[in-house]
Amino acid sequence: VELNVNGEACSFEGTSLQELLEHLKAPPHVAVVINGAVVPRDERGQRVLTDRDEVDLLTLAGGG
Amino acid sequence: MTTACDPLSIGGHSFGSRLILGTGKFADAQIMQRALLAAGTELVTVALRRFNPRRPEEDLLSPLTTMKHITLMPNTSGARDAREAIRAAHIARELSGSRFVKVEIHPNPHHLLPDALETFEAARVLAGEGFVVLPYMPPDPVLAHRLEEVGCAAVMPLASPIGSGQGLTCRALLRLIVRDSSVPVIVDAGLRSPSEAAACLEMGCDAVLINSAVAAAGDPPAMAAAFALAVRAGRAAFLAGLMPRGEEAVATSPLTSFLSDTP
Repeated sequence: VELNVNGEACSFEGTSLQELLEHLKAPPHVAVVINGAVVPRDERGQRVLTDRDEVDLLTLAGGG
Repeated sequence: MTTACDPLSIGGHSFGSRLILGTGKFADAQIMQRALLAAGTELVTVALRRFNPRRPEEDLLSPLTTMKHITLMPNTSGARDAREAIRAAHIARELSGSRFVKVEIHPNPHHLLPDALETFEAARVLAGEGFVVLPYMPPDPVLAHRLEEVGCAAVMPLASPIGSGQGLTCRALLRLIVRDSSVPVIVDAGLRSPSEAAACLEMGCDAVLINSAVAAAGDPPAMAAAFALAVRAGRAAFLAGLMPRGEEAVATSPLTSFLSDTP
């Protein structure tokens, strides 16, 4: 599928969100937002990606 | 008075330290962790960022979650309006597991001053959803009262612009907020030196939130320890009660004129 991941175009062989996370070596604690909506952890395994999905992977960084 | 019997209570949580630390601008995670330990802080702010697989060291969640005595307070920095801040708070809660959120909406990068209207709206919605909301706000006593009314667990007026180190430029307004507030008042942003933090606590503020003054110091862990001492001194002075200020001198020694030549 043709995705936009963290603001960058991304071609991915497959349609499984879980496989995409493994491909990107995303640690299990990252939050996943697809098209503006948070994907709960227990729904990641079943989530199917489609063309033009905007995927954001978010974590906590330093901030005041 | 020791801090052990004088906890800071926010939204039903009790903290032994009145020094809240931000985690931005540190050279690396190790220095940050040493500074947090030196500060004795139990509440720290963190920010939401995109995960970068090429720079995994930016990810603070793993090092911070090993510090079990620390409560995480994600901020909504980067949000330009209430809608974005509310969304950021939801994502941050998913990440941190914490109900604490620092509502921070500052659309202008030149001064980073908070947008009072959007901050109020985001705080109102998030408090209604059960978040423990601490809004970063201008030092406006009327706004502080309104934020308290909609359920904020504390108010966090700025002392001067974020990261500026200009210190306590709004002392008179902070005094009014302290006088009228029934939730904790936490001075957030602009402080540079431990003496300024002590002054905040002396005037009755309940805590201070420090980031740049520690992270950009020559020796961040040592500066964190200095702030911890100052916060304890300021709080102890407030509890002890400062003497009244007078217009004229009041002698501390007897003025009997027994050394004078004339009777």
